[in-house]
Amino acid sequence: MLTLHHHNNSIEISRSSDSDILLEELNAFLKEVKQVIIAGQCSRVAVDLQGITESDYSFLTFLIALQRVIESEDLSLNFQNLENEKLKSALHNLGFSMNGTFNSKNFKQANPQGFIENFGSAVLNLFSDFKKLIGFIGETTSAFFFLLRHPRKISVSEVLFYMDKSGVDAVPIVLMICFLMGVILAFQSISQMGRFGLEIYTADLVALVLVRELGPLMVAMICIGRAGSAYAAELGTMKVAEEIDAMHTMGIKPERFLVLPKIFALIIVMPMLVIFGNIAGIIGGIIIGTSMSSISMTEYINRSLESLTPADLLQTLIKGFIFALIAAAVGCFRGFESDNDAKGVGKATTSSVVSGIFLVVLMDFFITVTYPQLLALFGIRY
Amino acid sequence: MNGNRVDNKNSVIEVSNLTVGYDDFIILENIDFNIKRGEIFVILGGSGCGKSTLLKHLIGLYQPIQGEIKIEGESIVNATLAEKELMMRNFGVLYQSAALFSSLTLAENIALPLKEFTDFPDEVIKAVASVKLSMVGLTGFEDFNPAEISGGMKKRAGLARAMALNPGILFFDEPSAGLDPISSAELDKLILEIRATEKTTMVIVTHELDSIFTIADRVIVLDKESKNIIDEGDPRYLREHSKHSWVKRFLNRDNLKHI
Repeated sequence: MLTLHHHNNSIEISRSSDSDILLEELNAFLKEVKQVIIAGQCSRVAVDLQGITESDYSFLTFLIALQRVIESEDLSLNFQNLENEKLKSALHNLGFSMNGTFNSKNFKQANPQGFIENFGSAVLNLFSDFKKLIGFIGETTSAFFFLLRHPRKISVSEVLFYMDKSGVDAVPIVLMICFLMGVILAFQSISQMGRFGLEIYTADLVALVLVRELGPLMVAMICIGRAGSAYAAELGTMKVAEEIDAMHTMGIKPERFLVLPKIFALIIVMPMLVIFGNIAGIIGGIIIGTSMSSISMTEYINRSLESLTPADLLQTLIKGFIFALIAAAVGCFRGFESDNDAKGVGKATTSSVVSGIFLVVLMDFFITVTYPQLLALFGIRY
Repeated sequence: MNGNRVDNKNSVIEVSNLTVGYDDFIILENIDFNIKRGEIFVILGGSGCGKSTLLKHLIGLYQPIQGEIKIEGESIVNATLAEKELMMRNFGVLYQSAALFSSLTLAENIALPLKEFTDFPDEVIKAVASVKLSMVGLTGFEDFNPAEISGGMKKRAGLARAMALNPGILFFDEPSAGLDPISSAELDKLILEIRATEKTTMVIVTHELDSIFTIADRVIVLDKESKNIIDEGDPRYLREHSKHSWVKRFLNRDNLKHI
């Protein structure tokens, strides 16, 4: 219990019993002090520290709260009977000076960095990321050549497992999204081309756009979101659980056991998913194209098939293959680079998706630009 | 420190002038010690003094700032990646979290190093896995996943995997962490049994006092302040006669009285 004596413009506070101060009690008491001060009847606040020890935490809490209340009135505490040396040092550690002023110790705050610092650390991160990436690619490539020499060491069951998880399970969503892409494309192109009476070209447009660009791209996005992020989270969690360290100390290359099965699985299933997606998209186009215009189904299908060349099919497969490589490798790389905590795994998962999408779009640009030139080398018109 | 006292020919691990840390932050500076063949060697110290970090350097996961670590007379610090891998095959490591591969069953966990480094047919590998599991008292748990067994069982399964290739040296990172006193005592008993039958050298990081007095032949005590080894010897002797009051207090568990 706390008691408050008020006389001659001064408040004297002392503790009347040894019991701890309850929070409700503390609150009520502080209100009382405040009222007295606001009434303008006070110029000095004294606290009697007789019998208080450094482990009376509730009293120390009270002192800080009291100090906060009275400092707004430009008053400071006046310690009385402060003889206990340990209490003195405890008060000092909390931020009190012996004349009663209080400088609260600031908690360490994350320093907001300036633009230049941010930019600098981003560049440094980029370099160290790049260095690690080179290491990862090297390790994975050497593991790949090892498997070429020792094909029996390929864990077929692992590859099949990931083919199932990343491929078969993704079929419904791939069909759904690509079907809708076909519908949307057909819808947009019919309403525009219809103005010039060119509805018949809808079939060409839907087929070409899907097979050359949107099919592989949409499937890559889905696979990055489903498979790539799952790989990153899986490897990140394994890193936290010291499983990757355990592999290292067993003399087993984690790249061979953990990365290659995932990459193999995805580069096998993703081109297939792209084909499924393309077909679903073209079907979507057929439904809209034939129902919104006078084009017959046979006519539409014929046009679609005529517009597509083997080179287009090859392009869709090449893109599917390369995007799969990127999605799986980026997921695994980010997982390996994850920090050893829950937050780190989350970050690794996010960055696997972000950098995966970025790299896929970048690669799509390069393939799209260079593919016609490449074909021209072989004398094929595109 | 007392490196010369130990007969080097009989040492499995020789550490000299070792400084470890992260970037600019030095955790241990210029430490020396040797670990003799067949002994149970305990690395001891308060929280944050670098016990686990030291262990990770001994098993070659981290590269020291300076100094030398020799395993069976060969430097693991200067070893190429391929040489390091070869040396690691002589290690078994039991991690704090057991680090069993969660996607594999217990038998598959133990079979993994066997498949990797031996040409045994599958039947033999399966048999070895079963035997190793029964050595640690997990007969019949071959087809369980790590998620389906208790913490103590995981530790024992981890130990079975660490022993899969009959390593010369077993490393333990806080084997008793998270175990109840009975499971912990069982693990200690197992460690002593394995040493008796397999003559394996064991390096253990722990601060479980009961464990230390039961199993340790020799301990080194690391100190955060001096970043060095402050004492070394038989824990039962140090408990009574250590020159350092902290070591005595630690080993007598009366540290609270002196704060």
